[in-house]
Amino acid sequence: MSNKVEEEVGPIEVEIKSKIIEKLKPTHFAIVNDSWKHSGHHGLRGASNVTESHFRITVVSPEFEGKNQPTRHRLIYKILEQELGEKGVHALQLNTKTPIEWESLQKK
Amino acid sequence: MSVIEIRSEEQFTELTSQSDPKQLIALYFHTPWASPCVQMNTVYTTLAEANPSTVFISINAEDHPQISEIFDVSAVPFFVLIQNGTILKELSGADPKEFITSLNQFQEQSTSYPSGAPGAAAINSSSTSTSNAGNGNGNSSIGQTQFQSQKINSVNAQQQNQDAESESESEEKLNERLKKLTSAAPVMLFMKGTPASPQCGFSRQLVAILRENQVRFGFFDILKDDGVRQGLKKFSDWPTFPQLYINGTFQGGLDIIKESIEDDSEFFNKALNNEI
Repeated sequence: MSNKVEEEVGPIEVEIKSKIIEKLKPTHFAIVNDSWKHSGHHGLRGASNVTESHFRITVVSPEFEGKNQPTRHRLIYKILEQELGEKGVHALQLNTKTPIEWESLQKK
Repeated sequence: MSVIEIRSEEQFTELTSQSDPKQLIALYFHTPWASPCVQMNTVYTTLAEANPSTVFISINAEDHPQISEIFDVSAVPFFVLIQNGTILKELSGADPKEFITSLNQFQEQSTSYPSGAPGAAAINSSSTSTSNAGNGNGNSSIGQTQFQSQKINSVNAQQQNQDAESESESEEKLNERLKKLTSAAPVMLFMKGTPASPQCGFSRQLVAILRENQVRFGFFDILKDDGVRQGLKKFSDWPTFPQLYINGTFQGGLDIIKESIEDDSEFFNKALNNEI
């Protein structure tokens, strides 16, 4: 991990967090802004949003119960439709677990 | 004249550094186990006999990787027409008709224009166009075969979409095309760039996972076709790339595939056998 100075949370990150919390009521939530890792990349050249373009998100929620991975991810994509569309969020790395799955992972 | 099968790089260099600027040379890259190549072998030989004014060269792409690299061959069968040291046309895929058309086009020009300057429209440096190949069932599927080797290891399922009118493709037609594309190979990867040259870290990682697990796959470079790029997002109901399809069913992006294989090392086999 690099030693990044305490960074301000951007508006998109704030939105993402609030939307997910509201819709999925997670028991655990974590979000990391990875945009700096990609800002020089070919795919982002000419993009207006390079500071909040890539995020890594972990969501643990009972809402995921009985849903396979693609379905869980689609749920999140739906919630963050605006961010992925007009707001210019380019990619999301998603880790989606149910509370039970999360528990057993913690024990490992 | 018969087809000349290349045995060495020196031979290739000798044959292609022709002093006659009008001489049209056809190159055919193939591998022994790619099934569309088997069909094309016969076609190519017949054409060679029928067109004595053109030099027909055949190259086993795996035996001669350096030559393949010069022409950036990433899938077979692959044809190149050259004249006067210039690449006139490249054709990816087993479409005899298209090859014959190009052959005739350039042959005419090489005979009617005395100096080594074919007609205005002729010179396309690396205009790669891909075509459908009719396979045994008469379906026009994407007919290029994959094979595992260092340089050449995947199917290029790039559709022919070079015409300007491609933008006005109706949604219905697009969906039909997408259906065909997603089933073009048992495992289909829609990615940014190509396996040999990925344009995105996530696409690169997914290619690596497939290779590590020795999964044969077809790929499609969505950077080369915006219609597919946008259409597939709707079709898969998935906003990002890379996207992996197995047996025509959407499986997920990098995160999901990574997790699936971590949870179960037999993931790909099971998915291929429709056990998932």
